[in-house]
Amino acid sequence: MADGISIRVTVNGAVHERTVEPRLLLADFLRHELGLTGTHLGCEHGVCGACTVLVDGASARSCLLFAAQLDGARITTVEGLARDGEPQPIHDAFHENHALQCGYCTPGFLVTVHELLTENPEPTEAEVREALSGNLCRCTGYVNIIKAVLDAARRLRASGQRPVLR
Amino acid sequence: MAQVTTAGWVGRGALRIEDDKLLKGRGVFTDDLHLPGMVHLAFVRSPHAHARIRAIRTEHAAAVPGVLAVLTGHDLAALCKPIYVDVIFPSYKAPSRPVVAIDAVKFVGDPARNNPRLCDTAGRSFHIV
Repeated sequence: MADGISIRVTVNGAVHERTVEPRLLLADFLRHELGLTGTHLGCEHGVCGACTVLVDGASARSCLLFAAQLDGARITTVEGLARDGEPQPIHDAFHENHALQCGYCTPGFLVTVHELLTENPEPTEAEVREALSGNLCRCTGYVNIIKAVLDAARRLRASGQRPVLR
Repeated sequence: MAQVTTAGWVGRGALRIEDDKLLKGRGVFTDDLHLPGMVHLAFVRSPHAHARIRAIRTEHAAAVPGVLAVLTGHDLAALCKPIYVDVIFPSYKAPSRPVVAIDAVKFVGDPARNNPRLCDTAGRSFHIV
């Protein structure tokens, strides 16, 4: 590639070296270059939160970042939230509280919730609402998602676990 | 809270069987599909709520390397009938519209053109006046 930029990124624990076009979005890099299609694009302009991933542990919109910016970064996608493919307390809480329907927005929610519960193991409902304010869900609505997050926090505290990253 | 019964399904919650793959990023949505020979399509959408299309110049878009075809409303009108919402109210007159705008756009986002693309460039190379 004539105008390629070489990057080395760690995604879900695996190191990838690629040469990318300067304008390639992180979301498209994850989905098309690495085949990690769990990260979804809803709006492609930073409003819906479906494409949220963790960059060095902090949530970020993968539709608002260029892959070329991320040389050396450690990225976690929804695929990286399941330890050895096993569901974690946040997954269980979403499942048992009916916090998803079509599942399109769910990866972004899970990543956001992962960050919240890592930083704040005992959030209030208001804090959960605030944390989720950048993620849109168009079918489940938010009531069951908020219930699931509070339930996930309880499960994690009861088990003495922290949310796990791969 | 619904009363829990031990017989039958009434009053009992049922856990969904599809959640596992959706929660692990393994769901498959349309944009996740890769089919043999698949190409991509981009729409040029109206930035105007209501506007007449006087001309569309497609030469630049068609010249972008990798572009297979540039289709206009006229091209598609030859391939498919106008669409309408099939409402059953007795007095409702369903207005039909072309799948891609021909002479006028009627809302912001009304597709004025579509073009299979290998990159975004082609979609930004249109001149619609």
